[in-house]
Amino acid sequence: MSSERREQISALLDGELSEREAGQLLIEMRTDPDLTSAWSRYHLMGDALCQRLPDTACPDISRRVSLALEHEPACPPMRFRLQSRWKPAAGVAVAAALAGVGFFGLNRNQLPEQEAQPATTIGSVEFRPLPIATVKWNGQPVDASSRLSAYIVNHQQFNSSPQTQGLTPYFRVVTHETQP
Amino acid sequence: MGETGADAQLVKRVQKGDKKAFDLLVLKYQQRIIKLVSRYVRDPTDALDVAQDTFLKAYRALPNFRGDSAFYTWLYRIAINTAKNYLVTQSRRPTESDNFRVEGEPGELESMLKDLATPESLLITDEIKETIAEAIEQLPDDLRTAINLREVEGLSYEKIADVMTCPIGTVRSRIFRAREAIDHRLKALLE
Repeated sequence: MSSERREQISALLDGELSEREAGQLLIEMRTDPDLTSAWSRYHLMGDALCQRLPDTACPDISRRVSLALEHEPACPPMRFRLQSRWKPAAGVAVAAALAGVGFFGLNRNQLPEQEAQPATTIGSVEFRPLPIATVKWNGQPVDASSRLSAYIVNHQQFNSSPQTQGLTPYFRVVTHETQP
Repeated sequence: MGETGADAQLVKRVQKGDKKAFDLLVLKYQQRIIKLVSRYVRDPTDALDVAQDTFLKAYRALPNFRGDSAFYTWLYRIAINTAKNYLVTQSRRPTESDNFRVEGEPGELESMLKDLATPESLLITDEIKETIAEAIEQLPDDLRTAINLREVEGLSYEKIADVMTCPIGTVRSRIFRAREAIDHRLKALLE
């Protein structure tokens, strides 16, 4: 371990080493245990001079920590975060996107209903789009209970727990109530 | 760059996946954290466990550390929380007399004490302090002043250069030579 490297460690410890030098030194410290030991002892000195040592003994737990970290994955990548200066712009962008979706969505709903769709022919088979069935509620009370049983039996694919036999699954997913 | 700048550099490296950089942070802060935790956890062996746990938690949380505060401030908070959580857990645990133990079988505490008592892991604080104090006393005036201004007063190299009316390069060299002289004795003690 050269005197020059130890002097760099001393400067790094004081935060007085340039980023470029520090980067190079840290790379060397990965492979040179003497450099790491010097780093450790220099800090021990500082802690002793500033009364930062524990009262009775100064155990070295770095090995224990290092061993425990052996089984840890390398630090996962940082989660994406917006710089604070972009946060307001991001908010405006989201609001604009929602407004756009609302606008175009509404326009689509206002299209004339049941326009005749042209038939498509693939090979010898002609595909004609089915007319969209629209049922509008006329405000009259509906006898839901009489139609519910048939509905839930015909739509078992939406059952949340297909393994469950009998009527049990329907109790949890279907209900109706009568408004006063 | 300053001390926090040096920490920030190490933290960045850890966040990029360099575990070795985290080892350097542990070496740097372990004594401070053990001292801090010992204020809450009286049992020295338990205090070491809590200190170790603090560093593990810090490592796992480091991807979310944004550098809004200094690294040590952040680590300090983790240590306090870990120590407090430990105390809460301890208060819920049954007392030692309630535990059944086979006679002659070493308990957890005994084995930890045995582990702690190895010469390389256990150093007497007073001995270290005395060795360093003696080494500093024997330093030439310019080196002693430089190391004291840096370590005790926490001045930057630039400020020390102003105080000692010398170039920054000379300050860096004096501080290094002072550390080398102290290290010569400290190394002998540790070995």
